[in-house]
Order: sequence, then C-alpha cells, then structure tokens
Amino acid sequence: MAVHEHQGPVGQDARFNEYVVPELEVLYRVAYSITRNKADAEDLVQDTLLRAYRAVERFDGRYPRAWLLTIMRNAQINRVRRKRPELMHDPDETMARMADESADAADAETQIIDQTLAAPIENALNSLPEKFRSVVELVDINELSYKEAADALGIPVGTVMSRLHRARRNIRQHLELSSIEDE
Amino acid sequence: MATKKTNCREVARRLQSYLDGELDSDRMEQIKAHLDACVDCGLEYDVFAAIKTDLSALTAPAESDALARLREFSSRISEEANSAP
Repeated sequence: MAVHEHQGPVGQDARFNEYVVPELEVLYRVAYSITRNKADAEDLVQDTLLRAYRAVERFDGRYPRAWLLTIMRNAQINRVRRKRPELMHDPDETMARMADESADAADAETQIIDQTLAAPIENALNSLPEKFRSVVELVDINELSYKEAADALGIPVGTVMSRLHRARRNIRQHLELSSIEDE
Repeated sequence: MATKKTNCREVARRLQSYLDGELDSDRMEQIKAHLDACVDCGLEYDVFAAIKTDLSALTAPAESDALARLREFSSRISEEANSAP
C-alpha cells in the first residue's frame, strides 16, 4: 500500500480528482435516497466534497466509495444535529423521521396521482417503512454493495442484509396481493 | 469422492446474497449448480431476480443540472484552496 506524504495543493487536487470526482453521481443518488429532497441532497454532497477535500491527503486510496459514503453519513448526522438537536438520540430513527417529514410535505394530490400511475413495483417499494426502503434503494437501485450501503447508513453489514432480505420478501408479498386484487 | 451437495435450506438462506453477487466464487458456483438442478429453488430465484431487475429499472436519471453544479463546485474547491494565502 502506498504511503502518501503531504503533497500540497497540487497532490491534493490530483487525489481529489482521482478518488472523489468520479463518484459524484453515486454520491448524489445516495444523498437523495438519504434526504429525499433534491436541494438537501445537493447540499449534503457539497458538504461531503468539502470534507473529502480536506481529508483526501490522509486517505489510503483503498475503497474510495466506501470512504466517501462514511464521510457523507457523518456529514448528514452533523446536518441533522444542527437542525434538530433533540432528535439525535437514535441517528437511525432520526434519518427515518427526517425522510418521512419530507415526504409528508409533498403535495398530497401529486402523491395520489403518482401512486395511481406508478408501476406496481414502485408502489411496493413505497409501501415499505423508511429503514427498509432506503436499503433497497441503495442496493437495488443505486447498485451499492452491502458494505457500501452499510457505510452510507451507518449500520452493520448484517443489518443491511436482514433489512434487504425482509424488504424483498415484503415487496414480493405486495406484488402477489396486487396481482390478486387486479383479477 | 462425491462432494457434499448444497441443500435447499442452505440455498434459501443464501439466495439473496447470491442474487447480489455477495458470496465468494466457490459458494456462488455451488449455489448456481443447485439452482440449475432444483426446480423449486430455481423458480424462487427467478422470482427474486425479476424483482431485483424491476427495482433496478426504477433508477431515476441523476439530475444533470445538479451534477453540473456539483462538478463546478468540485473545481471551485481546489481553486479556492490553491488561491488561499
């Protein structure tokens, strides 16, 4: 493993461009899964980029996506702490509540129309509790590995697996019930 | 010597990880061989594979405007760092 000494701004820029910039799209998608709000997602990615830039000289170059997702997770916890300090007893619950509040704020009529027109699989996904839905979004939609999803959510890999597997079983049940109702 | 066959219960336990490619290569091969040979497990796999495929199709195109702004922000970070006294 290469040992990186302090290289100044030029080396820092090179490492930032090598390890961070290629992950921008993934970071934005994951940020949107976490915040459920486009403006918040963009702010969260910007915060993550600033932190990553400052830390990139110390990064060992292995698994940049996992490293960035951990930074993003910490950035999100700090953002929530600044906004709602009373909710910080359980970060997992806090993330879910923040997401639910964003969803509640959406226009009710739009939600009904979206639900009517959405594909059954989307309805099934939206029927899941937030903590299950976010794991499915990260692994199945954003194509993160279990480890990467665990880093993004700040939970153990085993928890990612159990939530994901339970979520898929629920989606399957939802789809089976939908097909029966349609007959 | 006959190798120990992977049984249905074990496959059920590892099916989701297999689907996600999260097992080591030996285990992946064992489960693939079982799925090819066992109709019930094969059907179970097909159901979850179809669900995963449908879910992956939900990918919303990343906002090109947002990404452009973030790329610009990335460039600005280093410019500002380099111009700082």
